Amino acid sequence: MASKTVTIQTENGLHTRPAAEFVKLAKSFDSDITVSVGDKDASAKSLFKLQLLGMSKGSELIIESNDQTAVNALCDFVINLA
Amino acid sequence: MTTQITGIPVSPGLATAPALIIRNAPPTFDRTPIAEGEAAAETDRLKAALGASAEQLTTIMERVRAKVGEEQAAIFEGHLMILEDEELAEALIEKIREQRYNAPAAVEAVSEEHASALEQLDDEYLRARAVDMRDLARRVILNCLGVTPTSLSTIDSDVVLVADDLSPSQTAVLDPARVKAIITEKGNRTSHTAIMAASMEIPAVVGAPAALSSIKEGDMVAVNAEDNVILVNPTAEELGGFAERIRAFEQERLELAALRDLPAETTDGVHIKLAANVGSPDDARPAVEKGAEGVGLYRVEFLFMERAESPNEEEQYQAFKSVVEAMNGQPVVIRTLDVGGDKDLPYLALPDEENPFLGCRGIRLCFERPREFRAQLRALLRAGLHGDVRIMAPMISSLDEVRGLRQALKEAAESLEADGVKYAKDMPLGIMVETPAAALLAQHFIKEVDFFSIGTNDLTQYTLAVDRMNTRIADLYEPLSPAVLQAMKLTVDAARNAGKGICVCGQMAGDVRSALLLIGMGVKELSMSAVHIPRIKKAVREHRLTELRDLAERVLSLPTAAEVKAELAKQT
Repeated sequence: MASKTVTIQTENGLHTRPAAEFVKLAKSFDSDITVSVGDKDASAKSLFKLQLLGMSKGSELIIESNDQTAVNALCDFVINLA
Repeated sequence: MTTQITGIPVSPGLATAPALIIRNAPPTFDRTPIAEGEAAAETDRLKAALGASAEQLTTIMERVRAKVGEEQAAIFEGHLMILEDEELAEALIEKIREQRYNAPAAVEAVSEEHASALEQLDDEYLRARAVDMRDLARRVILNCLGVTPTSLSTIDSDVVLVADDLSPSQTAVLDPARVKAIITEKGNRTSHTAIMAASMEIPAVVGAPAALSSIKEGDMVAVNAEDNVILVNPTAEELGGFAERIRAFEQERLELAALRDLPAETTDGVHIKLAANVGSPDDARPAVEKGAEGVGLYRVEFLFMERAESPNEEEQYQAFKSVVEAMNGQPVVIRTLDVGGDKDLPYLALPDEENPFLGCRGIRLCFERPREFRAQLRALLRAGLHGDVRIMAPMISSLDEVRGLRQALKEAAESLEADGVKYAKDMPLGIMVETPAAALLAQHFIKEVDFFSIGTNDLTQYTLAVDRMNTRIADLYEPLSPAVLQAMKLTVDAARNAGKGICVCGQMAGDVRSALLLIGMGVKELSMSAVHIPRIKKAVREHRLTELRDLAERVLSLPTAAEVKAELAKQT
């Protein structure tokens, strides 16, 4: 199981467009991917569930999956948010 | 048989078209638990509704992308993604299979759980997504019930819109080429629908309580917002008479258009400046065509609607700049964001207030959100490089606010300076006089600002303690009340004695009799929906200032609104 931690640095957290792109990117991988913030977790492929994690600026995301490439890609996406 | 109804005509003109009914009330449906063995059928019904909703949203998204822009279209893309979310589908199907909910009840329960959970979050933006979830659920529920929700952005034939009321986001996307007239049950002269309809030049009658019970979808409706007559399913004969009336109206319109390039001057040669109230860059061109001498009130709120978050400094700057450039060097008074009260922006997640009109609105909200306010002031200062731009703040009730505003403006200028960004220096700063506090203290306020603009709608509501959204007391809302006139007199006199500018930009400025009275009281500048300018100009050109002064003197000594109106009626 691969796992990485990343912190949201942008003022607007993961707002509509970036959140939708995040989910699109997650859906491009076959494996299950989980995002956890604090004691809550959700599938990276579900915007519906991700909304409830309350991700905003400063939130620490733990991204986990069997697919190391998927974990890296999603971490990079969050790091590169403008 | 023809049904005839009336209301409050708020935007002039006449039109005939089939009715399109917009229902915003929550849909009603049966919530009886489903019987054993019905789960499969309910699941199919749910899936069909989700599919239909997705199809409708895709259409809306494409229209919005083409007509409004990518940014706004992204909102619908997010909605679509939720709609197609597998976890959502699982939660819904579980409700149907395990808890025996029917399809619409499952959608209602799951979306309400989700919306409530969102409202518990710390992040303001995410809290505001609860509104989106409920909006989305409404669409799916209607589709479950076999009803296609109407979207104002996808109307593709001529219609007369009939609704309980329209929300600012609904009016923002409607197409004036297709919407021939608007009829609403709620509202009054100053409600949002009234202002938007006038700015888009769509004939409108609001506050028509019988509208939804008298008009059915597809009924032919003849709307005469000139004479306050709405005919439902008129006879051929009536339609003929109506066509005659339309011709007469067009004739008058042509006559008024002929005045376009003539000055708004009284017969004794005093020039009255007639400016336009605008809500977006799209309003600026029609304003120039109607002969507006500048913009007396640019309402920036519309720039903030139909979006997921506040426009940033650059977007605001571009919008301000395009209005300023369209006015060819004529003055443009831009009012800082005026929300709260009856104007809400879902993404600001404003808490509910007991008395929103006495709550955190206008300048109060700007002070509460210093980051957004800074961005707006920076955009205003930058727009000043492109013409004659003046800043105006709404809802001022104390000198502390005026000073706070000056300080915020100074800090915004310093931050631009620090960033090496060019901006206009010494931009004139004025305030809206719309609270009795501001009117009573006008002589003090005028020393610290460059101009006043009287907002007659709010000044009336606050002076008379009459909520202008409350239809039960609509008859108490009276701008021609002597109390309101006295408040205006204090304001006008203070500005004139100080040799500073005084403009009136509320609904009164666009009403012929009231406008003549204001001119008699010493107002030389009126700002109104562009559609009213030609008529006001015609009236100005038919009167002497000296006779209007006498009129004002007589009127200001009268003790009741009824006597004021009778006196004004003698004049015109």
